[in-house]
Amino acid sequence: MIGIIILTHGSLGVELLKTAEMIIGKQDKVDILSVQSGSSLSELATRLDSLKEKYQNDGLLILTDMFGGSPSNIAMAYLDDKNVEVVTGVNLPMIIKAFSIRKDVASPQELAKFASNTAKDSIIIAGELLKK
Amino acid sequence: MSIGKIIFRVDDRLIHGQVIEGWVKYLKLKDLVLLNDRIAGDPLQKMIYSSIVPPECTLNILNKSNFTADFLYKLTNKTMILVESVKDLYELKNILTADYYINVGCVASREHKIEITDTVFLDLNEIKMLSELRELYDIHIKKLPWETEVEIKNFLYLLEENG
Repeated sequence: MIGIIILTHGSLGVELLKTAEMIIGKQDKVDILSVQSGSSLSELATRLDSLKEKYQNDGLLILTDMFGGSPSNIAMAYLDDKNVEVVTGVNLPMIIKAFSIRKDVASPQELAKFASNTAKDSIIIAGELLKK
Repeated sequence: MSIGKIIFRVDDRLIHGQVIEGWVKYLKLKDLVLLNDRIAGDPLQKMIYSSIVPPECTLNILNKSNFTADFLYKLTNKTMILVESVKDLYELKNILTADYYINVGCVASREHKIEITDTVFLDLNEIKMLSELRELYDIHIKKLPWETEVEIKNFLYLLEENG
């Protein structure tokens, strides 16, 4: 099963995982990494290196909060490995989808596609929906 | 707010949210320059940083040794030059003049660092280097352009207190 790392600023990742688990239950093969204000990024890269080793045989999807932010920049440095994919702009529907289908997909790239499409489709202006 | 000067910024995260969402958008910056040998020598890192710069902005990534006063003359006052550390800024001291705006934005916390702000932690050596630069130039310590900068009236006091 493909491993998932949620890598965000502050405690966003922790809370997203807690909330997703409220909805779909406890998850395996998931790690949370966080970039705090004033924290050193080199320590974080060391932890990412060891997690990448851990998921070497399963494939790894890294979900980050914002393209252009430092969590995303760090994650993108692992894209030279074909067994790693990164999706930015993580939200709750994305995480739930990724957890739900990761047993059934063959590669992190395929999982990334599903996660990204689900996240985009989940953003709805509710008032416009009701006017239809 | 319009600083109207070339900005030198110390930021160990180089280009990230604060730079793009804060400085670039607020000051309508047009050019970013990364002075970093590690990034300049790594094609993947160059690609990452090139991909995150907004389309209205150019990006130059240079080895520190390729950055000269001649290069500076070509830049507009809508430019931010990013270095990774206080040491890298200090190495530019022969190029710096009062015509530039010097900003210290992010220097991560490590052992033996003194907390200056929530994003700036300095060790004694960095304080010494900044003290020397401050004799000649204003040093603005803040992570975002609209914040009030941190006033350190006397860096040497920090040295005495912690030395």
